[in-house]
Amino acid sequence: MDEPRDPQLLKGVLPMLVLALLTERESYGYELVTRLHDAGLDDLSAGTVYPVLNRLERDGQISSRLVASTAGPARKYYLPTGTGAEQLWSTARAWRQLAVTVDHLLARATTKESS
Amino acid sequence: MSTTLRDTLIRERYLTRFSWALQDFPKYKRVVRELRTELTAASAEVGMRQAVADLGHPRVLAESYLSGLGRPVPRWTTGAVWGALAVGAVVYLVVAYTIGTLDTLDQLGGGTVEREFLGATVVYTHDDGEISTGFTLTWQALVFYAAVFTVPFLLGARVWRAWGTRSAQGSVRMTVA
Repeated sequence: MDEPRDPQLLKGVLPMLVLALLTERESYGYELVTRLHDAGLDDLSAGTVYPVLNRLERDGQISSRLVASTAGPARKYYLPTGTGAEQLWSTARAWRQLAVTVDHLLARATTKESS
Repeated sequence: MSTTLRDTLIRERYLTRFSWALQDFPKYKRVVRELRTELTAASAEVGMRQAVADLGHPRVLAESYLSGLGRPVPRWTTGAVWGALAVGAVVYLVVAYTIGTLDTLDQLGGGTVEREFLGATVVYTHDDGEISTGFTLTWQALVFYAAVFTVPFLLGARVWRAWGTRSAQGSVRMTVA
């Protein structure tokens, strides 16, 4: 059984995940939420994602365009900009370094606990 | 697919509360407009009730947007409401006092009475031929009435936030490279 996730853990990496998914293909807000759910973040609420999209757009890391929809109003599709792509790679690199360090520390702690 | 009246009411009720909480976010009307579009799009897939529920409490959602600024912002609309309530309370008291004084004069058989407040004289008259209130203004009284609005306005608006720096902004961003 999966451990309950601390929302604070996710908060810091959510912009990176949003940029990563938008790099795969452009999406509108709600579609992005469902893609995050499908990726395993099923406890993530739409209310967590929209402010991140707003901030990334304000910072020039993603751009948007309106696309007409047959099932309702025009939808705003988001796509990373050049700045966003650079940000994604630098953040992903930092994340991997951090993950290695965290794994190393946790491995030491669990080894000590089991011995 | 068109939005039903019921769905529109649910959506607009949520957006009104959200809009109030987000009042001082830069270009907040655009954010509200975009959220309306997203809600309408999401409702086509999961229904309006679920789409609204997925957003969480409107104040919490607004806080998420505001925290993205990395600095607290003044709440001018809240300040204006506080100021208007304070002015309303003073106007109510003045009217109540005036009516009470004129009624008392009437019960006493009519006449005129003068009262002073911060150098300003108010004359109440109630006799067979006249029911009136006249007053003169002084700068002290004007300052008092201005303060009745201004002080609650500034406190309600958390005006000190206007001098807050943007220095904290970078610390909440995901720039850990």
